[in-house]
Amino acid sequence: MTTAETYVTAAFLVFLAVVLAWLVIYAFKMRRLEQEVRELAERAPAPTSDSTGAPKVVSARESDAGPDQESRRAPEPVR
Amino acid sequence: MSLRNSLGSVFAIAAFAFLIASIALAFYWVPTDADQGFSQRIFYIHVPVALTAYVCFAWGAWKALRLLWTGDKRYDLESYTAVHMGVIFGVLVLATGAIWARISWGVWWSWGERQLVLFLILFLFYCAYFMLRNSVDAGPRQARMSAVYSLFGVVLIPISFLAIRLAENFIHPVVFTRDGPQMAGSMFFVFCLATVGTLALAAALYHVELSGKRLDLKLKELRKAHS
Repeated sequence: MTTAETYVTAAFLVFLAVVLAWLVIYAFKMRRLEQEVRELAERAPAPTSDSTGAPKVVSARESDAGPDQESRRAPEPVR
Repeated sequence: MSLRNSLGSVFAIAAFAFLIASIALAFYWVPTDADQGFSQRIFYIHVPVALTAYVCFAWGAWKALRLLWTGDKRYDLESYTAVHMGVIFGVLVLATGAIWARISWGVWWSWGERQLVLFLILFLFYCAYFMLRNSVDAGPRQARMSAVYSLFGVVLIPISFLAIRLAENFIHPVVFTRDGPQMAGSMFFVFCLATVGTLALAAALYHVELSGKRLDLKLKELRKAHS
C-alpha cells in the first residue's frame, strides 16, 4: 500500500468510525430510555374499567364475538 | 410504523446504498487525478461531508427561524438536533481535511488558509451553542436564546463557502467555478452520488436522534407527573 492509499483509506475509516461511534452512543441512549419506560410502566397503576376498581377481564372468545356473530357463521352446505 | 419512522428507514437505506456505491466507484472506477494523484479520492468524502455540515447548520437556522416566528416549541428540539448533526459532520470535515492536507501539502493544518480558519471558526461557534444552551434552564428562554444564536451562526456559512474564492493566495483547490465543475464527468457523477449519500445519512441520523430526544422529553414529563 502506498502512502497516498494509506491516507485515503484512513480518511474513509475516520468517516466510518465517527458514524459507528454515533451509533454506539445512540444504542446506549436507547437502552437507557427503554429501561426508564419499563420503570415507569411498573410504577403506573393497573388500568381499571369500572367504579369498583377491579380490572375487567375479557376473554378472547368474548372479545372476538360481535353482535352479528350469527350472521357471520358459515352457511349450511346445500344437499 | 409511523410516517416519520418509515422516512428515517428510507433515508438510512438510501444512505447505505449511495455511500457504498460511491466509495466503490471512487476507489475502482474514477480515473486518478493527474495533478494530485490517488490522494484526490479524499475529495469524494471531504467535500460532500462539508456540504452536509453546511446544510445541517442551515436547517437548524431555518427551524430556529420557525420557532421565533411561530413560537411552537417543537422547532427548538428540531433546531437543536440539526445543529448537533452539523457539529458531527463538522468534526468529519476537519478530520478528513487534515488528512488530505497532510498528504497534499505536507502539513496537518495551515493557519494561513482562510477557508480552513473560517470553517474552524464556524465549527467552534456551533460548539459554543451547546455551552450556551446548557447554561440556561430549559424553557422558552433557552429555546429563544438558542434560536437567535443559531441564526447568527448561519451568516458564517456563505462567508466560509466563499472564502476560497475571495482569497488571493491560496493552496486550497477551487473545483466549482462559474464555468461549472472543473473535473471529469465520471468524477462529478461519483461526487454527486457521495453527496446524496451523506445527505441521506445526515437525514437518517437526524430522524433517529430527534425521535430519541422527543422520547426523552416525554419521559421527563411523565416522571414529573408521577412524582
